Amino acid sequence: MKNLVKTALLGVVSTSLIINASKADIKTFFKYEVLPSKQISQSVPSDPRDELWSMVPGKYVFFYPQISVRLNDADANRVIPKKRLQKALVKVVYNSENIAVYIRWKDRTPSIQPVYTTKAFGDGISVEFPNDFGAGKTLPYVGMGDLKHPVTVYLQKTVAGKDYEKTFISEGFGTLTEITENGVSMEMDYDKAKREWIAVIKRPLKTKNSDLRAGLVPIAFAIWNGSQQERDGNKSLSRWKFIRLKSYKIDKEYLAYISWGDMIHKEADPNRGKKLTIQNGCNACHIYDDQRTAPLDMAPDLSNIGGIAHAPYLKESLVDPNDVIIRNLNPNRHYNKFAQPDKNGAYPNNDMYTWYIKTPDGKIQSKMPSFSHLSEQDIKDIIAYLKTLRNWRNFK
Amino acid sequence: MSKRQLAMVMDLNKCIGCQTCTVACKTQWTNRNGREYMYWNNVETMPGEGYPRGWMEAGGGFDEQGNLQDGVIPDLVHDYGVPWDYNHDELFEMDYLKPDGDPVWGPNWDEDVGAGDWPNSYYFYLPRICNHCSNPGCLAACPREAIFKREQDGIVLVDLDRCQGYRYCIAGCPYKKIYFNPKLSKSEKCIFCFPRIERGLPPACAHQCVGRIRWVGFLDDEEGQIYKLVHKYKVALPLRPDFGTQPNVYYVPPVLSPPKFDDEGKLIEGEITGRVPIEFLEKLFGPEVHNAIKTLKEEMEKRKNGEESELMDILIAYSHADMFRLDEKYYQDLASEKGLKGTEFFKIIDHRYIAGANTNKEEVKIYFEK
Repeated sequence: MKNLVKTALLGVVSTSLIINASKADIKTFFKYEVLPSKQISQSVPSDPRDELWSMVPGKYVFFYPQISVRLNDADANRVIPKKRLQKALVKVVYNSENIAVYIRWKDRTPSIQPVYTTKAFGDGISVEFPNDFGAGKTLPYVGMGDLKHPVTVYLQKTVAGKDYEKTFISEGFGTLTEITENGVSMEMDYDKAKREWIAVIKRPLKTKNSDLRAGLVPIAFAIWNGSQQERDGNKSLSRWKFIRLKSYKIDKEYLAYISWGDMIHKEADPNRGKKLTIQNGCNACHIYDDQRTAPLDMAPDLSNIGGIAHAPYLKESLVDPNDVIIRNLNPNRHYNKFAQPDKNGAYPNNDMYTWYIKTPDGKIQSKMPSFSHLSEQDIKDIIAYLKTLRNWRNFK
Repeated sequence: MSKRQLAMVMDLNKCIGCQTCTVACKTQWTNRNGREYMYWNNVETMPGEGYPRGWMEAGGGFDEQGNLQDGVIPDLVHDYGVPWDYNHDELFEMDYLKPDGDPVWGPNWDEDVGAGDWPNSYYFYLPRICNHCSNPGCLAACPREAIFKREQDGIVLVDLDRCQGYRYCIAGCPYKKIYFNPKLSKSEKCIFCFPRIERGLPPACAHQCVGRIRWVGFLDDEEGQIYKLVHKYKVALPLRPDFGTQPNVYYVPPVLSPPKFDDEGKLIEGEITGRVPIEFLEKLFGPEVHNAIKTLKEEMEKRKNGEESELMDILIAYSHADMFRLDEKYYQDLASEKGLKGTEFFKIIDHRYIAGANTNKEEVKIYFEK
């Protein structure tokens, strides 16, 4: 821990990026964003039907359809506007070695990817942990991390005839790379009476990629509904939640950072925030709310950003966009028809749709300009407005 | 984008729909391990629904601005067809011949149906493989970036280590020539027989073709017949160029259809493409088809008059050596440059297909010692 604090002190943090939560923020944060856990002395269960789970307190987590990027399956896209907000009950137990996360969610259409199919998809669940977190560390993009914030993803899918469980490291869209970690187990079980899936994902507290021995552990969830042809980015995801592990101390600096802005709806004016987004030209690249004129894929669709992003993450994105560079979905999706094709007839990619550029010295820079020149109140108003954006039903 | 590009030309005037290519491909690559329903090479009757059913209307490809379009994934039962067998053994017990399933569609389901009313009904055969496009829709669609185009020859392949079976590639390919392998839960496609190509042999479909309708070679090889057909005489055209993927399989359009009859049964002269409507050919091969047909007719006329015609000599397809201009040395030199070892006969340049082109592995398996 000492090392972490040191890095935080040494780390260059721009003045406008000082993020410090109020007492009210922290109170709200613990009420809504913190998942309780239970420390046990026996071994951590990996079975969803284990009796122990009935004695563990849980909390509901909400899931929003992923619409930040649009995928190209016409049939799957057609059902997106019909999707509803989902919720899952999450419970956590841990001992000195392992941690297990229990997730239970309603699914009236359990689907298992059949042995012989081209069109059917199975249900699935995944959880992700940042590989690095704590004081001085900013939050990764919730959709599988970003270039500066790798995450470890645990995925369980229901595929007939095989146990489809995988562990990945990811640094944003398209980077998911399969790895093996010892001591990981994932189980998924359907409760026919309650029409619910129950999943348990168990891993060691410390793996070679991440160490979860901390007072507050960031965790995010995704669920796939196979009957709605969900797979990959076509899914519902939660925002970052934080597991409270009571046997470890909470780092105050980290708490002050992650809980910042949880009361922003009381301190700032979302209506003014919306006007500011238009004045500052956010709608030139981003699609959100009723602002839908930006070209598709130009930048992440923000229509439900309030559901999946935290205030500190939004603030960083505004004042220091280079800290959270999200890789494009496959840059080959748009080619430049007006450029000269090569001798084989291939057109180069249209750079307009790339979300970052490479500077001559090889650094990666977000195409989004910094808005650190805005006043503290302006930024708060914009964030307050962005936090209201959960209107994913307008997605087209 | 690749440095060089392999291409195939198919002369539709000579295709007899015998499906030898289909069988050559099937026995070589797709008769096992979840590929049973796939036809990397198929021959369909045009006009027709094709294989998979209605592929031409199933979306994918790019719009005029160069943006990837949404598409649909064909259904195994209704669009591809579940493979079936016949009860040959029971025939000895006086049963009648019937399939062992209840198929509703399959490759070549609408064989020889075609279009038009008697006596002017018409059809022609259209063999199709993966077009190994210069701007592949499958490659653009993959959110995992698991599809790659080899820079040595432009062959489009799936990195099976990265593929997670999401199937956006199938929606993105306007030709529906990439398939989902349900057994592996990964996508697979025509590999242009690259292990043969690297040994200087043409793909199995081209080599086996009894009508000798297929040419294979590098597009930049100006001495090669591919270059002459595509760039010099411009008689070989890509299929549905409006899909915007820049295909590298080219077709010599059918111009030898029988002439039309009028209501009194008399021949109608002057229809340049016979019974096949020129509008249909324009839909398949784009506006360039008019010039291609003109050139073909002119060169045929020359030959009829006893004059020389290089184009006709090429299309007659005298020798495989000229039709398949492949360069084993090109590949083996590349392998030597990279220090790749293989057997004394064969150095595989494409260790990426086995080891994963874009995969960062924790432990990279060394298939070929350096």
